Amino acid sequence: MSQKASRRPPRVRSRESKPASAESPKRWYQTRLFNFVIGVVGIWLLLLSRSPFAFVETMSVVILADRSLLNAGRGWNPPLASVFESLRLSFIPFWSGSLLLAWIFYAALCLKSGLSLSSKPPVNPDVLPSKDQAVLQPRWLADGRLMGSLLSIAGLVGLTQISINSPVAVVICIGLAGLLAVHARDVATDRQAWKLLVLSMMLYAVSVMGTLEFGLIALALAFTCVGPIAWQLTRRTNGLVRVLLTITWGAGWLAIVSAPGLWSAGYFAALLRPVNWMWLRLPESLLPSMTAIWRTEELGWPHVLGMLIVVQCWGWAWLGRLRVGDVMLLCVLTVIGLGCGRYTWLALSSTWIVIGPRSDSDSNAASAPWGANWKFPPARNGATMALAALGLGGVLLQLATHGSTVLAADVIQRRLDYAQWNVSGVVVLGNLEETPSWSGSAVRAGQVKRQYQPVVSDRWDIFHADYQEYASVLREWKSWKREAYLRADGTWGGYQAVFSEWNPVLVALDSEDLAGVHQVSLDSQWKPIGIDFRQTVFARAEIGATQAYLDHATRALLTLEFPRPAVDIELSRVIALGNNSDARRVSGVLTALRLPFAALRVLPNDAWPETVNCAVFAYAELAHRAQRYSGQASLLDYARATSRELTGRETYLVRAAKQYLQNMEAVHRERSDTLHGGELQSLLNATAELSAPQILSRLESMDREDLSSSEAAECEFYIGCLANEVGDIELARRALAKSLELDRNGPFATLATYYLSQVN
Amino acid sequence: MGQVAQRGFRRSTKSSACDIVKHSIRVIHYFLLAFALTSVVSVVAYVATVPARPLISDAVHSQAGWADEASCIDCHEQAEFFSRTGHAQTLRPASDATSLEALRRVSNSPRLAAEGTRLEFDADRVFAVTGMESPGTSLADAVRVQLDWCFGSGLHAQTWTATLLDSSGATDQLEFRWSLYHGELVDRTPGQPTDPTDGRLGKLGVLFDGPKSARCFACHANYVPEFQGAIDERGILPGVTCQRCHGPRQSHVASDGEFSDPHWSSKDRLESVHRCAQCHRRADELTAEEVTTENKAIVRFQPVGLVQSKCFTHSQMTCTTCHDPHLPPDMQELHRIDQCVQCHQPDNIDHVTCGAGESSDCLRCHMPKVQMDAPVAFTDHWIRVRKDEDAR
Repeated sequence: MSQKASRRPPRVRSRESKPASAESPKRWYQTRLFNFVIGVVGIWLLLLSRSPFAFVETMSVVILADRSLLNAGRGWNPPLASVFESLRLSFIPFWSGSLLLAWIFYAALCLKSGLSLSSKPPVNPDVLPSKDQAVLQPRWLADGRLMGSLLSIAGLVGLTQISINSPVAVVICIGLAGLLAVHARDVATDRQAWKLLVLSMMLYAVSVMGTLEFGLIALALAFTCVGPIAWQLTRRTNGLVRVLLTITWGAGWLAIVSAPGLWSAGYFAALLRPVNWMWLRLPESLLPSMTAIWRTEELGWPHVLGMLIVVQCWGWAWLGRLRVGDVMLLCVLTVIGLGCGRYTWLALSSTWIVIGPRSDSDSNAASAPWGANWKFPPARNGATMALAALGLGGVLLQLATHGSTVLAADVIQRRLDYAQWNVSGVVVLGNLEETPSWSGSAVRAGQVKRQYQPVVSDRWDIFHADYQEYASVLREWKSWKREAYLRADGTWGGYQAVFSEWNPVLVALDSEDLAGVHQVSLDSQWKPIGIDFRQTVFARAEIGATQAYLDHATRALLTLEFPRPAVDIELSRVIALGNNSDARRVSGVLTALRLPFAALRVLPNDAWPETVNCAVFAYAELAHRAQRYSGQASLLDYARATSRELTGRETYLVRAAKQYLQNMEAVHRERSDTLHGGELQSLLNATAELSAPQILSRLESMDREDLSSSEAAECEFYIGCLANEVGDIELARRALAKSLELDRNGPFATLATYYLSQVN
Repeated sequence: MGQVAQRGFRRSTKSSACDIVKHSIRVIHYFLLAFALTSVVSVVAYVATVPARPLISDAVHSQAGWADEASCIDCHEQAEFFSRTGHAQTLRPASDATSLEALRRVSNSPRLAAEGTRLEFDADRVFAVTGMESPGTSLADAVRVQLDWCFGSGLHAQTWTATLLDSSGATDQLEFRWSLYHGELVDRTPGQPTDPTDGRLGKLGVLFDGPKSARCFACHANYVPEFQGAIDERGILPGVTCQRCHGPRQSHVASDGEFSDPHWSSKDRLESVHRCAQCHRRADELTAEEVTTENKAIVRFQPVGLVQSKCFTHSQMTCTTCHDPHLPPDMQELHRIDQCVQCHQPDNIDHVTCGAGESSDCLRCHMPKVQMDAPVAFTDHWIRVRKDEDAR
C-alpha cells in the first residue's frame, strides 16, 4: 500500500498544495467510489472468511413463510428469496482470509485516519458553522483521527460479527444506499438529482425483492438520500410553494414505498419488521436475540467496541456535521442497534456505512490532501497504534476462538444435515432463529416441495400473534403436560390436542436449552435423532419413517456411551461435533440426555473453564446415576466433581450441578463415616484432579490386599468405569466382572451388571 | 451542555445580530440533539426493561390474585365442613401426625419385612430403609430414603413419596412401594410392579422423573412452585381447596363479596366436567379403542365414563349434580337410589324408571363398584345396564 502511494508522488504533491474544497467532483467521486468498492469487497470477504459454510450450505436469504402451516399465502415473499443460491463458493483458505482481513483493516484504518486529519470547518453551507468547535467541544470528540481509527476498528469488527443467518443482501443494499447518500449530498444539477432519485427507487425495488429487511433500506434512503435530493430540487422555490413541494415529495415517497402493499398483505408488516419488535414484545424463549444488546448471552468486547460507532456518530451530530435526516436515521439505528441483539451488527454496520462517510465529506475530505489518505498514521500517535494493534488482535482472536475451523477451511462438520432423514412434514422449532437451517436443507436436496415446514418461523411480522400459544405448547411438550390442564387465565393447556393437529415429525430444541433437553429425553415417545451445537432434534418413535433413523441414533449414542465395535454406525450422521467450542456444547447436551460417558468422550482435551464445567456436569451425572441405581454415593465421581471448580456464567447446569453436589455432600459424608480403613477413599480424593487414565493407573497399581471384599469390589467397579471412560473395553469387562465376582450383593452390583451388559 | 450554550450566548451578545442568530441556532441545535439523545435512551431503556409478555402459566403454578382461604368460612357455610373432605386432605407432609400414625401401621406389616424393607422413625422424620448394615462388611449396605409427602386423604388410600434432587436440578420422586388402604390394609401401591425394579432404590419403590413428579403434585396441591422441573417444596400449598376450583378470590374478599367472578358457574356442562377431569381424566384424551365398556381400566377415570352415559347426554347433569365437593363423603347421600331419584321419579314422565322393577338400589346394577388390581374398588360412572358378574 505504501508502495502504491509512493508510485504516485506527483499527484500527491499537487494535491497537497491544493485546497480540498477545490477538488474536482470527479476526483471526489472516485475517492468515494473506491472507498465504497473496498467496503463492499471487504464485507464480502470478511463474511466469507468468517464462515464459508454460510455459502457452502444453502442459505435462503428470505424465509418462505407461506409454506408454514398457520400462514398459507399470507407472508410477504420476495421473489428473489434465493438470490444467494448462486453464491456458493468454495472454501477460502486460512492464509488468504487472514491476509485479506489484515489488508482491509489496514487500508480502512489509514483511510479513515487520513480523512480525519483536519479540524477545519466544513465548506458546505448546509451544515452548521463550526468556527468555535475547537473551543466548545471536548478535545477527544473533536479529534477525528482518534475517533476515526476507533470507528474503523469498530466497524470492521461489527462486520465480522454478522452471523451466517443474517441477511447479507441487506448489508450490500445498505452499502449501496450509503453510496447514494454520499452522492446525494453534493448534487449540483437537476439532472444529477433525478438520476440519483431513479437509482434510489431501483435500489429500493431490488431490496424489496431481495431481502426481508428492506425497511432498513427504505429508512436509510428516505433520510439520507431522497430527503436531501428533494430539498435540493425544491430549494429554488420559496414559501408556501416549497412547503407544498416538500409535502408532495414526502407523499410521493410514501406512495412508492407502500405501493407493493397493494399486492401483498404481509408487505407492511415486513416493512416495519426492523422496528416492530419493540412493541410486539416477542417471547425470549423463541427468539432469544430479540433482547437488548447487553442482555444477550454473547455480549463481549466486540459489542463494546461496536458501541464506538454510535458514540462517534453522536459526536459528529454534536459537532454539527450531520444533517437532520442523518440524525433521525441515527436515532432509529441507535435504538435498533442497542435495543435488539438480533439487529445489533446490522444496525451498527449500517450506521458506519451510511452515516460514517457523510461525516467526513465536508470537513475532513475538504482539507485532506489526496494521498494523505493512504499514509500510515504517525508512529508517535501511540494511542492510535495501540488501538490498531488491539483491534487487529481482537478481530483475529475472535476469529481464532469462534471460527478457527472456519478460517482454516478445515472441512469440519459443524451442523447436521437435517435433510438426511428421509422424512418430511411439520417441524416444531424451539429456537425460531434456526428457521433458515430447516428451510434450506430441502432446497439442497433438490426437492421442489420443501421437506420441512416449521409450524411458525422467525417471521415475527406475520406470526407474532401465534407465538404466545406456540411457546406455551412447546413448554408443555417439554414438561410432559400432555393432558389438558387449566392455565392461570382459565384456558386449557396440554400439548396433546395441538400436536394431534400439527402432527409434527420432528421437534428441534435449542442445544442451550438443557433443561428442556433433559426433560424431553425422559419421554418414551420422543427420542434424540440428531445433535449439533445449535439444535438437538427429537423424533417420535411411533412414526415408521423415522424409526430406522431413531434406531441408528440410539445405537450411535449408546456406542458413544459404551464404546463397542459397531461398523454400521455413522456417528457423523447423528452428532456434529464441530470445533472445540461446539464440542463443549454438545457435551452439555449429552449430559442432559443422561449420557455422561459420551459427554466426557466428546470433550476437547484442553483446560478451558467451559471444558472443566462440562466435565463437572458429567461427573455429577455419573454420581447421580450411581446414587439412583445403588442408593449410595459414588466416591470416584463425587471426588472428581468436587475437586474441580465451576466457573463462569451461572447457567442452568452450573446452578443445578452446584446444588446437586451440595445436596450430595451429606450423603457422601454419611457414607465416608461408615467406611472402614478409608484407603480407597484417600486414594480417590488424592487423585481426583488427575485425568481418567492417571486415576485408572493408580487404582490398578493400588495394593488391594488389605481391602475388604466389598471395598475391593467397589474398587474394581471404579476401574471398570474409568476403563469404559478411556475406551479400554477389555479392561472394563474384566474389572466389572471381577467386581461382581467379589461382591454380587454389593451396592454397585446392579450398576456393574448393567455396565457389563452394555460393554459385552 | 448548558455551560457550552451559556458561553456561546455570552460571546454572541458582543457580536452582531447575525452572530446572535447563529448562536441561537446552535443552542437550538444542541437542545434538539439532547432531546433526540434522551428520547433514544428512553426508548432503549423501555425496550430493555419491559419484559416480553410472559407465557400463561399452569394455574397450579400461580398464586396471582389469591386470597387467604381462612376468610372463606366467614361468609360461606360450604366451608364449614370442607376441611374434612378428601380433596382438602389429599396431600400432607409425611411428618404430619395423621401420616405418622398411618406409617406406624405400615411399618408393622410383614409384607415390608418380606422384601427386606423397614421404616425407621426419628422424631417426626420417617425413613424407608432397605438392606442391612452388616457388621461383616466394611461398607454401609443399607439405603435410607426420607419419606417427605403423603398423598391421599386416607378415605381410600395413602401413599408416601420421597423427593430427590437429580443432577440437572429437577425434582424426582420415589413413590414408596407400600400404601395403606382404608386406614388398615397394607398393600402394594397401584402401578408398582409385582417384583421390585432394578437397583437398591427399586426395592423401595419406583422413581418418577421431574415432569411426572410435578404432575403428581399438580393434582394434589393448590399451588406448586415449579420451574424447569425443580419444585420448591417449601412453597407447596397442599390439598385441593376453595380457590383451586373457584379461582383467585382476592378481589372478592377485598370487596366484601361485592365483586364476584362467576368462574365455575358460568361454564357449560362439559366444561364443568372437564374441571374435575383435569385430574380425574378427560374422555377426549383417550383413544376410541380405549373407551369401551370392556375396558375396566377406565373405571378409574370417572368423567370418561360419565360423559358416555345417557344420563349425561340426555339431561343437564354434571359431576356436582350428585357430588357436593364441599361436604365429606359421610355427609353426602351417595348410596343406592339417593341421587338417582332426583330425576328418575315415577311421576316424572321424562325419565324412565327401572324396567327390572328394582326400587331400592340403582347403583348395584347401573353403577357398580369394580375391583382394580389394588385393594380399592372404583364406582363405574358409565351409567348403563350391565351384567351382575361384572360387578363385585
